[in-house]
Amino acid sequence: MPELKASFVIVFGSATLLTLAGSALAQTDAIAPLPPAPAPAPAPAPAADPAASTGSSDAEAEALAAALSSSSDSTAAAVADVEEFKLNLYGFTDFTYTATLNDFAFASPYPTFLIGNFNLYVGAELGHGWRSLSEVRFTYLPNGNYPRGTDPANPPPRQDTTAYDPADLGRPVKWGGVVIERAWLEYTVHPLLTIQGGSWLTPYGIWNVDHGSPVIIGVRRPFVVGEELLPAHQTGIQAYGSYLAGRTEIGYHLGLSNGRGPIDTYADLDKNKAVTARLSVSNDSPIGNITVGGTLYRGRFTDRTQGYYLDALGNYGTSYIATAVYDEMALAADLRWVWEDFTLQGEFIQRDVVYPREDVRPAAFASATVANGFLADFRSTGWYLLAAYRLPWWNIMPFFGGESYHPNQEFINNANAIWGGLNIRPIPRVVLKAQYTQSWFLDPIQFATIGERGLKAIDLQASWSF
Amino acid sequence: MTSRREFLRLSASAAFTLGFPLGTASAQAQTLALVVAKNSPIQQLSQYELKKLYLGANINDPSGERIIAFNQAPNSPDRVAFEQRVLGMSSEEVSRYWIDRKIRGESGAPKAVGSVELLQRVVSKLEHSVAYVRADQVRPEVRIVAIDGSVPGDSGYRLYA
Repeated sequence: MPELKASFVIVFGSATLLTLAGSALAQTDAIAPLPPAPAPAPAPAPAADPAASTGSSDAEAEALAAALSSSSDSTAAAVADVEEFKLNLYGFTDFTYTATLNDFAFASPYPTFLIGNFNLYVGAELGHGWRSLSEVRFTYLPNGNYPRGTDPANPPPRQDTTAYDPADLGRPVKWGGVVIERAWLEYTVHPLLTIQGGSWLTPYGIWNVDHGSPVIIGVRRPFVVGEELLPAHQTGIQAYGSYLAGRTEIGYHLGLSNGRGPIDTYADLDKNKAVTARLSVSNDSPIGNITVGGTLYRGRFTDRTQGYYLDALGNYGTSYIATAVYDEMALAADLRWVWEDFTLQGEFIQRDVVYPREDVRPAAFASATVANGFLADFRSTGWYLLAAYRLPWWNIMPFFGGESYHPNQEFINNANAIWGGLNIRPIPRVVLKAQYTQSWFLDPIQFATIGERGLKAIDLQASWSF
Repeated sequence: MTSRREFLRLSASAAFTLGFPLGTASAQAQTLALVVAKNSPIQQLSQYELKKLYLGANINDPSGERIIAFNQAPNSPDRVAFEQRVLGMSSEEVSRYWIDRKIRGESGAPKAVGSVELLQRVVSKLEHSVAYVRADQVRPEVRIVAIDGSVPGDSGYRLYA
């Protein structure tokens, strides 16, 4: 093949074509020789190496090596040292157009544009094996939101964050909020052990770890992922690491956190710390990379009121009265198979909820199918499966998938859905997506709705990283 | 119409550009070598370890220290060839890989050093680091380590550009 290409070029090519063909051959052909002359050094990576753009004199090399070697016992730290503690700022944004195509009770009939995520990352290699990462999401919320728990039949006015801008003659401006997606510090002791503390994404499955819209193949999260049968974030500590045995990598995560709660990001309202454990195995073979993982989460949700009281002697005390308590255990399994341009991924998640205290067991609402009383313990399950193939043109990736969600909870119908679309990545930092989703409720229906018993919707999204 | 002289000139240019083994151009010139400091404890790596290392995995050397990988400049011919041969990715796929990895919150790409000479000087000072250069550009202050038990020149050596 190289000879054929070369002959073609020799006979028909111009100088420009020759250069291009030669370059292409050098990239793709395993046995083609390189051009004999050393290539001139192109511009260095922007944040990679401050010395790369300054030539290769002995003094510069010595200076760089000295900087790399100084004040550090490990080369990892030395490399961080040479960067002189630079903050690494980056992020992603997505812009979506969504339209409901049918009459469905739980989706707005009005097509809309929205900025869904505007996330900013602040990362830093702190040196000596220490690394930090914070990610915040800027949002227009809470403006326009209805308070949670509002009677949907009689909603109060929307939350209005309008303020009067002193920098603009007091004209109205609507402020938004910031969601702290994660903020952690970690220390790598060994490939087998990194210890991380702070707020982190729960290391389960695929979707929750992929996390950002430029990475996620589709537009909408599968329902079983969006419903957070395992918490998406946790605050606490975790240890993780991996071991490479031949072409197989075995990884683990062990976490201890506040678990789930009304204010779990900054306060645990019980003494039961939640435990997360994950084990994954990844293997490279001629049929691609296959990763199989399993995650266990066990924790207790507790909500309390906090008040002060006086005892008989007139001393102040604080009372913590539990208003909601449930124990949960979730199991998640995931599979990802990547074979060249083909991807198959799926997750199965199961969550058991048990109310251990009858005095705070939630009341059930009466409906056509549920009598007055108290909620039973329940098990929710769900899964999704997604297949995608990236075509050689414009990095177009058709994808198709399906899901099933069985919450087995009051006022939530079991449902199935199928979806499919295109994920196009014209350049590495820009992803354009189009997705069609169709869902339907499963019998027995817990409550009837006006209109169709499922959603038909189309989503168009542009997401980009910066 | 192209004259015979012009045809020959273009032919020579094509052969040069495509890297035909003109004259005594040796197999060494077609080969990428993995280099480490003279005093490095690293004696060899498997191609799979090399792939994992350059994809961001933590790999330790025999002394227990984490191996630091250095890259050549983005889009340099050697780097493009290395990524194709070792990582099995095009430059664009590599870009996508690192963008996605950072959004997941994982560590970034290996540091790049623009000059092959400087790159080797840096590696020579860091006993737990590795880099790849053409075999005929290997400098005396570094040494070549085996990949899957083979070094450039061995019949089983597979790291060609």
